Amino acid sequence: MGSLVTTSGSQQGGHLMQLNGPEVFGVETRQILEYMRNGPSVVSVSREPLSKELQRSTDNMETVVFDALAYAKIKTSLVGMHLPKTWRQRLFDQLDKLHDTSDWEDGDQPVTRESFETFLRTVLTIRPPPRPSLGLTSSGNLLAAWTIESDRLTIEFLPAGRLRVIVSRTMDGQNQRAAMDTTSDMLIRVLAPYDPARWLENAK
Amino acid sequence: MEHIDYPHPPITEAIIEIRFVEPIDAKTVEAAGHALSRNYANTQPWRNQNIAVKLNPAGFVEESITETKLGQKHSSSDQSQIAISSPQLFLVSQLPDYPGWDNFFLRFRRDWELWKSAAGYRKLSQLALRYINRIDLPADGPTVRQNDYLRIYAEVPDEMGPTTAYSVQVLLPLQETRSQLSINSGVVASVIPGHLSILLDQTVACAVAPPQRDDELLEMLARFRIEKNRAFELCITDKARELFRRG
Repeated sequence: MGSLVTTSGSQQGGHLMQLNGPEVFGVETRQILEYMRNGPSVVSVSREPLSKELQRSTDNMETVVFDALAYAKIKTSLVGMHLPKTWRQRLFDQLDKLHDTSDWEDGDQPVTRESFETFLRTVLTIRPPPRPSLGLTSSGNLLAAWTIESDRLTIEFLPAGRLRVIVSRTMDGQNQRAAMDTTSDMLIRVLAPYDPARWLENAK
Repeated sequence: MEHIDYPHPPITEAIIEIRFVEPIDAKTVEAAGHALSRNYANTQPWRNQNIAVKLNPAGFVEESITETKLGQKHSSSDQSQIAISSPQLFLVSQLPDYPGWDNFFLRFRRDWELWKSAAGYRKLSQLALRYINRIDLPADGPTVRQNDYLRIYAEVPDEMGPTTAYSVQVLLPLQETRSQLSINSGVVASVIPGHLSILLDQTVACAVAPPQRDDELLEMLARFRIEKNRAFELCITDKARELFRRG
């Protein structure tokens, strides 16, 4: 019988010292940890922390937009093995077009990291999703819409996995509309009365 | 051990890194960056930040952040291809989709030639190859048996019940290449719904008399790759291979 890892409450693996108080460690343990730190050091781009000194001035919109797009593309790449390749490239093209600031109003913001993370998590929940039309709110929340004939599903991706959903669906000859706040994990369940497969082919 | 090309490799980043004995002056770094920039859509300033956790003499945990000097980071438009030039190091990084060793190594050779054409010969202090893998295990129930997929993990007695997280590091000498294999593995926060993710992070590095000539450097990297592949295949099971085949 081998080891098991529980899926509930799993946390990011961290340095041993960060998980325990200093009084736990005796001399021998400290020696082991010191030895472990002597492994080769190689910079990782995907895992590098954000340098506070390099946080951009919000006055430089070009830089702010670049950083937002770079973050979104890197995050997508890191889960790219679970997404169709063409889907990812089309997403990047759509994001680039959305962030053409020549059409922006004063105060418009690029996609926020938090909104994009919710979008990505939702996409992975219903993967592979049909390609949506994308939009951006002025505050930087990503919007996705799927339209089949007169039936439309619109989702605004909020921070922390939250979604704002608007459904418009013709059922038995009558138009049904609903607006709901939910989460990416609950999306398919709350859409069940409206047959989410209408828009999301592989919705479970 | 035979090398296998997987349709869906779990690679999240592949890195070839060269470190120098003496820091390179800012003007040369800028010139090298300018040479590299012609092959990349974007160039930004870059500063390497290291976060070290240690115990101070009083026995309390102390976190220190050290930053090396400014360099340049070059990236492709989709951010999957990266090159970094700084006073301390030169590196080429590849994020998914991993294009295969031949294409990755070709880009490294191209950029290394450009870098050298601007900076000239600099004595190497370390040559390293690092592959970071994130293995996403389908979680059909409340627990996942990691030894179904991995042969490297922290094993605890069954009577203690399932673990929430673990972290393992092993360092192994590689005599033939005078280098060291470092493997770090542990549970990481999963970004894939319904999965549990485990990191398998391998580095092969030579810091003791690293090769200084290009032909020796390239040959050593090729040998590093063989060592890395061998270690990877030894660390995974057929069930993991099936994940990488079917996606």
